Amino acid sequence: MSQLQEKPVDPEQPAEKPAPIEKDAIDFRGTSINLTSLRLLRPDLNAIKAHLDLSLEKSGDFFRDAPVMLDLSMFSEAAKSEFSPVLDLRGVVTILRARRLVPVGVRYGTDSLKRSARSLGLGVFADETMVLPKEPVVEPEPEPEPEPVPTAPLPKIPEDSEAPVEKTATRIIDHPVRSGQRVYARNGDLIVLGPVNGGGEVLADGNIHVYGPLRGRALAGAGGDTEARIFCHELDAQLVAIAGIYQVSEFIPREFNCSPAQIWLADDLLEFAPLV
Amino acid sequence: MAKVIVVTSGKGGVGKTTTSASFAVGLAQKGFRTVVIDFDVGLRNLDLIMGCERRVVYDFINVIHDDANLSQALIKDKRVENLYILAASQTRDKDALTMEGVESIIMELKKSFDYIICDSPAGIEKGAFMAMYFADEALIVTNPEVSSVRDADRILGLLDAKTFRAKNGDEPVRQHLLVTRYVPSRVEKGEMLGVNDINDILNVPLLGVIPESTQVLQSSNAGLPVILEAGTSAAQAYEDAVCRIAGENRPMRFLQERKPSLLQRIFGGG
Repeated sequence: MSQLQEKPVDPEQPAEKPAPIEKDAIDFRGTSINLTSLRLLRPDLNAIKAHLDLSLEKSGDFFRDAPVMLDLSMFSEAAKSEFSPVLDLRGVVTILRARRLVPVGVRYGTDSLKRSARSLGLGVFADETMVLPKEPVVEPEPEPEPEPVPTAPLPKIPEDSEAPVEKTATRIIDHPVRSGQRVYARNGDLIVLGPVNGGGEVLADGNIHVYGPLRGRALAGAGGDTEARIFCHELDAQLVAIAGIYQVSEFIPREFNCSPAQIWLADDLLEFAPLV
Repeated sequence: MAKVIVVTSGKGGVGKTTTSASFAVGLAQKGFRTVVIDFDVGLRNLDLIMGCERRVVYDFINVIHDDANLSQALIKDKRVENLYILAASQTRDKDALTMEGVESIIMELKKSFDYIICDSPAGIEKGAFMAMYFADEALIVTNPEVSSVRDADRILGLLDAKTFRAKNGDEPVRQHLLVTRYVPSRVEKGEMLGVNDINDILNVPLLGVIPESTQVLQSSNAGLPVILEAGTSAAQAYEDAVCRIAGENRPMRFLQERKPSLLQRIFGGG
C-alpha cells in the first residue's frame, strides 16, 4: 500500500457566464487515502497475468473491485538504460479489469507511458514523494509529513558523500546491560532504562543517557562527534569516553561518585558536572 | 508441561552442583518426576554429590553417541522416589556434546519427567552454553562477593541472548537468583555483599538465600544432597527455595543472624 494524496484541483473555468449557484454542489478537499500499489516488474503480459492469478487466488476476495495504482518505476527514464522494455499499458489494464481490479492511475514511467495512461482514462500521480499543497488546506488538522514512498525508483545518492553522517533513530534499551554485553547505537543516541553493569559497554555515535547506575564503560560520539555527551543517574563508570578521549574510573572526580552527572568534551578534555 | 531448569553461575565453586542435587531431591520429594543431568563433561561431580558414583555404567555422552539408550543411562536414586540422575562422562571433553544430541535427549526426557535440572559447568564455554540452551528457567547461583556477582551478570546476559527461547523470540528464560554461603553477621560488618547489594547489580528476583553451613561440605563428602540433612539451616533454606520455584509462597529466612536462645547460650550448640 502506498499513501497518496489528492491535490485540490481548480475546477475548469467555464467559458460562458456561470449559472448562479444557490447552494454549494461540490466541495474540493485535499485528502490522504490508502491505495494498493501494483508495481510492474516486467513487460511480459503473460507473466503478469500468471503472477496476478496466483496472488489473487491466495488473497480470496480481498482485492475484488479494489482500486489499484500502477507503479511504473521499473519503466521510468532512469531505469530505461538497463533494459528498454516496451510495456503494453492497455494490455495490462485489460488484464486487471478482467480480474475485477480497478486501475485508477499510474505513477512514474516514461512520458509516453503517461500519455497512454491518460488516453486510457487513468490518472497520473505526481512523481517523487508527495508535495504538500501550497494553498492552505481547509481541514484544521495539520497534514501528515510526506512519507518517502517505499517503491521509489532509485535510491537517492547523497549529494555530498563527504558530509558528516546524518543522525538517525535513537536506540532505547529497556533491560540491564550486563557484563560482557555491548550495545551500540549507530548514527544516533542511546538511552538505557536500567543499569549498565561492570564489564558492560555502551557506545553511541550520538549522546548516551543511562537512567540507572553506569558501572561499565560508556563511549559517546564513537564516530568522532565531539559535541556528544554522556548523561547518567549514577556515575560509577569504569571508563567514559567522548569522541575517543577517555578517562578511567581512577581519574573521574570523586565528588561525582555514584551521583547524577553529565560529561562533555571541552578543548580535548572531559568535563564533568552534576546533573540537576 | 515439563520444565527445563538450568543451574548456572559463570564462576566455579559457588555451589551449582550442590544446588542441582538439592533441588532435584526437593522437587522429587514433592512428587514431581525429576531428572538431573550433569553437563560438566570431563569433570563430573554430580554423581559424587548424589552418592551414585558406583552405579554409573552409561553416561550422557554414551546416549548422545547412541552407545546406550536413555533408559540404560538413567540412574534411579535409592533414597527418593521419582528421581533419576544422568551422569556426565569423565573420560571425554565438552566437544563430545552436540546440539542435536542434547536436544534429542531433552525432548525425550520431557515426555516422561516434570522437571529436568541441568547442572551447568563453570565458565561460558560449550558445556555451559549447552546446559542453558534449552532452558525454560534458570537458577543463577552466586556467592556474596564481587567476582561471582560479575560472572553471574555475564551469564544473565548470555541467557537473554543465546538460548533457544531468545533465538526464537519466545518468552525469555525465567531467571531466579540463589545466593549461597551467606553470612548475615559479615554482611552487617560490611565484609560481604548483602542481598540488596547483589540485587542492585543483578536485577533478578531472589529465589532464596542459603546460609553458610559446615554441613554442606560434610554432606558432599558423604554423597548426600544437603537438603536430606533435615533440620540443618542449609536444608531448610533449600526446601524453602524448592517450594518457591514450584510456586509456593514462603517468607525469606536466614537474612538475619539467628540470636542464640538462652538455653543455647548456656548449653552451647545451635
